[in-house]
Amino acid sequence: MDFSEKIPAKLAEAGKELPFAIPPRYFDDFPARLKARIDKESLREEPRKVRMYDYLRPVLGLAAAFAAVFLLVFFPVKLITQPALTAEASSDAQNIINLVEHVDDHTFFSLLEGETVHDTISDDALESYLAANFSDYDIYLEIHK
Amino acid sequence: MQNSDQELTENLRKEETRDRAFQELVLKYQERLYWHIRKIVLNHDDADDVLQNTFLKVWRNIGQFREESSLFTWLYRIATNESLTFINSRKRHTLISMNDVSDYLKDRLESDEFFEGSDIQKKLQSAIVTLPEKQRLVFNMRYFGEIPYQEMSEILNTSVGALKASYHHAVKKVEDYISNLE
Repeated sequence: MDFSEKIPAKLAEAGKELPFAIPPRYFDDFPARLKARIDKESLREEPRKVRMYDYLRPVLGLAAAFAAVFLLVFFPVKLITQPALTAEASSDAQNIINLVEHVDDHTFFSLLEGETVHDTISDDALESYLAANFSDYDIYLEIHK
Repeated sequence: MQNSDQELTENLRKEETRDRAFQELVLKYQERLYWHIRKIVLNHDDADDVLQNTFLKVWRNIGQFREESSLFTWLYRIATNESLTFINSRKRHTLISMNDVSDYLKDRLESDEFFEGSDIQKKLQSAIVTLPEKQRLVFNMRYFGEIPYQEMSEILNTSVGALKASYHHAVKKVEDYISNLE
């Protein structure tokens, strides 16, 4: 591509002079006006009075950040762990049901009536009950659990 | 000039010589920067605002000047950015509904009491405002300012090849625009 700088006729006719004027003594006055503006801006930028809020702001910011992190972490974790806790609770209930199922009727009703099993059952009765309901091997396993 | 700019920069960094060095900097560059800005924003009042913003930025950021480029390039870059920021912010806040920057600039050109060009010069300015932003900048800097491409490349952070292409397209568009007006 040819990027030659030959100025076309129409442009040449307009010339290279800028058609702009400036107010009289503009450049003589400019430095003083600029200085006045810089002084004004500097005054505006002077440190303002420190308020209590300025001291507390970093601490408040930190507290807000901790609160945000807590909310962002605690609730998702709680939501995730809740089903696991429920499962644990239901597993406890199931264990109780299993225990009750394995308790014989006499013991069960005695417990309900608030009687102490040991008060009513003698060692002989217990021995004969165990002999009748459990094998020696079961008893051995229970003892050595 | 190079040494003088270096000296000026050193004095601007030292607190005890800063005020005086800044005054020197303003006196040395105010005219060149003004005309650079005026070509972009067109209106004198706007150019005055932008020139003040430019020097204010220089005053605040002189500590960040790393001398990777010349002081002149750094100043021109700030002036260019301030001009474009000014146009875009004014365009946003204007009450008149305007489709693009060229409408805004045309309006500013027409309302400028310090425009004193001929008819053909007015047509040329009207043509320039229709150019896309980059082409407008390149055209103004090259055509009126006659800034070398290498310097323009540093100011606008664009390759010399891309700048030459932009200028070529801009000249063609301006010529076509003026021809269509007649």
